[in-house]
Amino acid sequence: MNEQPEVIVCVGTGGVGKTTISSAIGMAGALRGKKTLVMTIDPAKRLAQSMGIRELKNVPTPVPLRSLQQCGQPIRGSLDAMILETQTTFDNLIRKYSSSPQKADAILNNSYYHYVSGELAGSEDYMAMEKLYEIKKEYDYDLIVVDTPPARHAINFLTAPNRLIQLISSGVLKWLIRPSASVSMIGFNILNRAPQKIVKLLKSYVGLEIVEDLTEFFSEFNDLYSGFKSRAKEVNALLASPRVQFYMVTAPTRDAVDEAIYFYSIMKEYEINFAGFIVNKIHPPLYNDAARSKSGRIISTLDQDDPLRITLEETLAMDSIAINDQALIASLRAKVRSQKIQYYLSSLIMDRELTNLCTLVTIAQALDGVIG
Amino acid sequence: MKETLSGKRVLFVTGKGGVGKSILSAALGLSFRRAGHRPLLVEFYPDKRLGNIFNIKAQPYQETAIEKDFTYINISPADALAEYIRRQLVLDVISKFVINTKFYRHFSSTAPGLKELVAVGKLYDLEKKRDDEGTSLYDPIIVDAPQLGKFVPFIRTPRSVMDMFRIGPVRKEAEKVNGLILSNRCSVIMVSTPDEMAITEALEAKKELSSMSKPALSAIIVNMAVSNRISITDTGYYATRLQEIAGNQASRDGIMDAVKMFMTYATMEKKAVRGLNDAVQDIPVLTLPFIGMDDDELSIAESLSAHFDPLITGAP
Repeated sequence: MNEQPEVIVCVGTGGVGKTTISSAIGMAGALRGKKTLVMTIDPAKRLAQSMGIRELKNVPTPVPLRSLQQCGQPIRGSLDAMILETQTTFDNLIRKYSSSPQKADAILNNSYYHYVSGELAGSEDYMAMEKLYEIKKEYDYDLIVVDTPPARHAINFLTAPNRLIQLISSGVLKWLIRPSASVSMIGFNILNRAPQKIVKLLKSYVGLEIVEDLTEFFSEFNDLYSGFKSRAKEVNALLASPRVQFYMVTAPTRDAVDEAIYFYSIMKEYEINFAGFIVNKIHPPLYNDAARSKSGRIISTLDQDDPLRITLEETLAMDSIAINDQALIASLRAKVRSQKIQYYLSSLIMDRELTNLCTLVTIAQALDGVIG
Repeated sequence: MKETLSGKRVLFVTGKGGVGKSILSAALGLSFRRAGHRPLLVEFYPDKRLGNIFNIKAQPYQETAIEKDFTYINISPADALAEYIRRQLVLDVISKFVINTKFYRHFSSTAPGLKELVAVGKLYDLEKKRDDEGTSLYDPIIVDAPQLGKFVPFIRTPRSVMDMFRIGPVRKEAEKVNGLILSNRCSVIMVSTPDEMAITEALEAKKELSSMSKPALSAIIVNMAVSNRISITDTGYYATRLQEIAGNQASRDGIMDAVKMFMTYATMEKKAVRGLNDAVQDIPVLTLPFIGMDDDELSIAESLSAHFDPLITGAP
């Protein structure tokens, strides 16, 4: 891909090393001389430490790159990092679009708001995009790398924000509060009774206070609804622009590869520029063919509990993971046949712990093509 | 070893994504079954990873026998709420209609925590089930729980619902379920892989859990440790041994290259696991070997299940 992306969004399921890969892409950008920001969600403290930052904050914080000279890398660009706090971002959005501080407070103190902003699945994803939009507007980064929240299914990231908007704009809940006003939306007059029955059921099951909270929430929210909606439109427009590229981070395990194939099959329905897969945590092979079979022959001559035998058995087991990894990567490539899709492979770090920026540089070099 | 897990009625298995929660839940179930218990395996996702290990076709929300006294159930929150409504609206025709309405679909995807509450609440019902002689039908209930990060919100579901619903039957339901989760009958098993980053995250999660005090963390399982069986990490030892055995210089070098690469990794892994053992004194840390790639998942679960026996029977 020749175009240089201004935003790179990394999606993927939990456990594939998405945060590490996002940071490495950020590093790749900085090495290319770009003014770069990595936005991450709940990173391992260990990773923040490896970047020389004790604790990540909700605002961009410079990563000290001086130590890169140790790894023989000239410093050209800059790298900032920040963590996304869903609640703070959501609260700020409410304050921004409320017509008065009093109205903002009413929402911020509403118990239903707490549920929507904090615990409803999807609010994290939505706020990640919101923050991206805000940062993109207010700062002049050449490249922003976004690490998305971990999910069982990577597609959640694309569907969740819409679900949240749907909830907020949903006439259904408003209807719930004033059932008589818009009962025709059910459409089947003859069966009107059943939904009425739910309403009755709900009232008796949830009590009046929650109904009051809901009423308050939606009436206050009406006030900032249009602001919210136009904001969501702008965010969606940003995500669809060619300057924003999506990568899926995956790993050579059956589940992760199945998920990658699934994601690819349904992501076409969304207006995003999907650029490719980054397969992380690949085990390097330990043996060539001759040495592998020789190792097997030696094993058969040794006692069960001989330490040499045990070690050789384990080297062969680990080598078989490497072979298996290659087979899984091949199956992914066979299923996703598109000239436009890029593949980047990143090996498990065998010889170094993730203790310093140099390791991140090593991963970054393998991902240089992502920068464009 | 102390029989850490006996007497626990509900075990939540959690950990970072991709560490093998489902397969270890299966292994735990097999170990409990072998010890004469009547385990129930619970999965909260519609994709049935755990069910697939045993190759069983189970209807959602219905207890299905894997074998005698070994049961599986899939409780995806969406099914759970539908089932709940079905029971509330006794007339099947009406409930079918309700569940198929646009209204219901919107409501169930937006109603504050109800779906999740009903799903977690199902655990309460299952825990209460007794056979004709009054013995628990399921003991223990092993839950393939959401991954770290989603786990605390998951077990806090009843609490969050209580924060919202201050009166009424929903509140009562939430209190009931919350009571079970915050009792000594529930316990958490955390799974990690043997790398430093995953272990650091596991330790942070341990801290977070202990700040909640209940449910208590009972054990940490380190899964897929390739260094588990290795006693000698000094590559010099292997060079000498191979010198004695392997005649051909080229193949000896090839094997030594593999051993060296492996040991670099194994040494790192051992260091990380040692760090975890040093940091965790109050509960057992169980390190499980890596079992090859060739076996199917059920065979892997069976091999691993033997390692759980001491935690269940107390035998060394």
